[in-house]
Amino acid sequence: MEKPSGEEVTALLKEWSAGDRGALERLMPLVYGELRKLAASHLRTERGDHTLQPTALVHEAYLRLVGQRSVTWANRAHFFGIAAQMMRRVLVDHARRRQAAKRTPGTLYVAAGPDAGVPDRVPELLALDRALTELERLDPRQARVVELRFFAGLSVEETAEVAGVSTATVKREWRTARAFLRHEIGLEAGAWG
Amino acid sequence: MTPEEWGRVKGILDGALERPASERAAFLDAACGSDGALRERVESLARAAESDGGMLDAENAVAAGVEVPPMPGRAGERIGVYALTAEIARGGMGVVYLARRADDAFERRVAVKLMRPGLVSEQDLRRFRGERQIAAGLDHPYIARLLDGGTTAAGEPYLVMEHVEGEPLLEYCRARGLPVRERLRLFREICAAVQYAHQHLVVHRDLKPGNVLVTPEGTPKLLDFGIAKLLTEGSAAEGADRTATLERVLTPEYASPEQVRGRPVTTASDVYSLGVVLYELLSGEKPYRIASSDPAELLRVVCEREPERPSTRTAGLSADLDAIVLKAMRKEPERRYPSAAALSEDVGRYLDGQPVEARRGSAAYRASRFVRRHRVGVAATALVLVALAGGLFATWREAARARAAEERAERRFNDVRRLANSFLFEFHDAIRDLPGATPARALVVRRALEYLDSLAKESTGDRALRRELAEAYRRVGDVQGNAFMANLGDLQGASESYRKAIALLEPSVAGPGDSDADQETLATTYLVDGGLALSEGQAAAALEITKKGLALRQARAERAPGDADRQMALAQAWQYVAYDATIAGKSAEAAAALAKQASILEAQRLERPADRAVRRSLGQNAYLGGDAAANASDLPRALERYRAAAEIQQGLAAEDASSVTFQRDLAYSLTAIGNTEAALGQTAAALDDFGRTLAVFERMAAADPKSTDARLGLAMSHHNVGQALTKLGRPDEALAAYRRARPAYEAVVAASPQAAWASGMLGTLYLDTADVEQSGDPGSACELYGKAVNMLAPMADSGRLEERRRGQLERARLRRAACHDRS
Repeated sequence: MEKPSGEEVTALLKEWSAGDRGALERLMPLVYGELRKLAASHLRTERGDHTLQPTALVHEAYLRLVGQRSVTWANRAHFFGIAAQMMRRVLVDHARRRQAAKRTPGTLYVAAGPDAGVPDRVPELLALDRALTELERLDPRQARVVELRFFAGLSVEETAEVAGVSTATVKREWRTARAFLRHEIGLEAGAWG
Repeated sequence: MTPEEWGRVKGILDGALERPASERAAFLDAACGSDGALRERVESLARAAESDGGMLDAENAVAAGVEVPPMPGRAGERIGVYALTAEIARGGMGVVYLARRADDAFERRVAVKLMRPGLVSEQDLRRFRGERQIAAGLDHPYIARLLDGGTTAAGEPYLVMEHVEGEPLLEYCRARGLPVRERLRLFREICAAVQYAHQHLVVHRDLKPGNVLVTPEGTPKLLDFGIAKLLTEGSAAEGADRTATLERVLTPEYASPEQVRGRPVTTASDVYSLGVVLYELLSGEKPYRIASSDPAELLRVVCEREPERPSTRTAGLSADLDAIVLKAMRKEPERRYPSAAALSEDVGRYLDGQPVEARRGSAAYRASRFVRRHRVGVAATALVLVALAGGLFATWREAARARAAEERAERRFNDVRRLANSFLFEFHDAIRDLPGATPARALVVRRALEYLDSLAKESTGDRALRRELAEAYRRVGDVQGNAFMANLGDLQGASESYRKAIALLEPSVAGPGDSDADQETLATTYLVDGGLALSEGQAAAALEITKKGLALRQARAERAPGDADRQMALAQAWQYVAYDATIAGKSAEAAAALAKQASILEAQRLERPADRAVRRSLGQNAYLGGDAAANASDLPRALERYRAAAEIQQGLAAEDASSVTFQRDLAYSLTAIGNTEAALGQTAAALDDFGRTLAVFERMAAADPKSTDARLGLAMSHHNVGQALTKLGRPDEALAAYRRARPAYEAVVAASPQAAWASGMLGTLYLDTADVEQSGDPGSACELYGKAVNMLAPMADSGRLEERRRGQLERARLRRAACHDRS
């Protein structure tokens, strides 16, 4: 995959914000691939202490894809929105694949590499994803806030900016969303009877 | 739930979460009224909100430990002539795919290893092509062949290898319950492959059970020969990043001490790794468990800890095998088996029931290492052996445990102490005069302060330690901001460090007992602290502090009159007094101090004519004599003294061109000569001398672009050149020179606002530039007069403005007022 040019991404963002859904389809894989690459290289250096901030990733992906110059705010906000959705997709898809791979008895040799010993977040992540999908149905804006905060790793301030709401709103939405999600995950696990 | 219902629940939930638990019930009573279902729902959610555990506790998904896939799935993609079919492995270096040649008439399966992006740089790739040739030349039945390699269109490096259908070594042995003798035969085949590669000058560097696959027929195949070299020696990642790469790429449990230390890796390193592989093959366990990712811990474990004998981990292993494994794993490469073949032969001897090589001398070896590590403990151990015989084993073990804890604590304390000292007194001194060392020195300071502060907390009572600490704080202060040395420009930090040193020492000197050493350390600290006060523009205070140091050194010199060091120390104190007095405007006191210093130095020179320290001090003495004469308005005498200083310093700078100190001495004298010539009206000569100064500072700045000292010196020289050019009636050139001077002054003032000298110079520069601009660009001139006032006025208000600049401030104010009137 050739690295997309900044102009290409900017143009796609513009087309998308002008209502061209197809632009989003073309944009997704570009951002997706870039995020994965970044995540891979970051994890390599940051391994073990979980200090990797998705924010850094997303900002960096943004800079790499779009470049710093002549970028309007609307583009930036769009980008972060897309990036957050994508981070979610990347992580959840990967978790699903891992889960599937575990189900098949060891036909393939998977090296007991650097991942050994890392707590398995797969079931919880998948439960969270289902809960978030439910929240999306009830309150799309609130679900976006969760994506921006939890999957893109944006701060409260950044989330407010991207979502176009006040920081107080973000804090409130995040707090109640967290209650909702925990509750849903707990229901799945049978915790709240 | 419907969106509407959720909206309602959310509102109440938010209100409930906002309130303290005590008020919640009342709030819910009011908000939910008689709707019991609603209330139950909200309460249930509130409980969930306040439960913890789970990934939502974390700031975000990655922080919660959710795994981010390292690379996009690539199956189906084509790389070169290879079509990727499935992912087969994933590791530190990248992802391995099963692939087939898309253009091949016959089906040929290969493994394509895609490296993680960022692990390999362009430069590495070029080298990689060369390495690949060598590795590709390996043709051995037990080595997986490297077939091809290159970079994808997106720039990711990849390798194409023979595809091996097999299981990793340990899994293979475990699954089949292979007996020890079978394992040893397999191990000998692995040794044969390694030996073959070594004969072809390829070192593996990352031998581990995971890199050995065993085919269903029982043939071992070694993977990744020579590839680790590509990733660990390259320039792709430097410093910390590179260490991270190394840790990630090499598996620390199998890395040899020399690898962990970053020393050159040889065939002996592979022998070590083979030893670890054998250890695990026999005992089922790794010799060390390295849990921490702390490099210091890794270093300690791999380089210092003796592995336990494999037989302690699993029953029934022969002592011969213990000896073989431990010999392969010796810390010192030269004490291991000389080759993989020799290791294999010894295993062969064991299999044939012959005495093994490794047993010879191994007891002596162990004993020697033990003695080396426990020098004090050896005698005690002898006693313990007696106790052991008496059946007191358990008692002994308890005692040993307690003693070990105590020893550990003390060792730790001493380690920290040694570290702080070695950082300061050895490491820093070693790099002090090296050009380009500024960032390294800043790092040294930060680290040293951390250690010192932690030590200081435990220092109460121990006088020697207090002195050691004070000395260390003083040295840190010097590096931060000693005006007489190349420093980091952190005056605030320096002042804090000096204060800590003085506070540690004053009680010792005032108290009873012999305090000679404390006195010297305290004297030195006073002297440098005085210098710092001077840098902050407090000349009178500086003089007072410096005299405290002088008094202590006088006392020390009198106690041992023939001691040259004490004489030199005293001479230095006099020099500082002279310097401070000059700046404080007390020229008579300065002249008297200089005369004292000169008489001590001349006496020393008679004894040691070539001594650079004596000569340097004489140069400084002459220079300060020049300052004193200039202050007394005796310019011809000042010029003569400055030239005398420059002559001595020129000699020293030529003898040791790498010494920043000598260069700076010379540059300052040349500046003084130029200034004096300018004052005497010899402007052309002054311009020449400023040009010479510029050259010296340029040399210094080129060698160490980050040195504040060199940058300020350069700025000052340009400034001086500009002033001379202005006088010579060359305004355009003058403006160009001023423009060059400005950024460095501004940078220093921005970084360290209390740097009085640079602030004063910058104020003057604004004024000088404005004076020239006035005829060409009055608007810009007016703006600059304003800047000059803004820079100098606060200094005057806080008493930090030198006498000679007061007039400049006045002039700037008048000019600015004139500008306002015009507009």
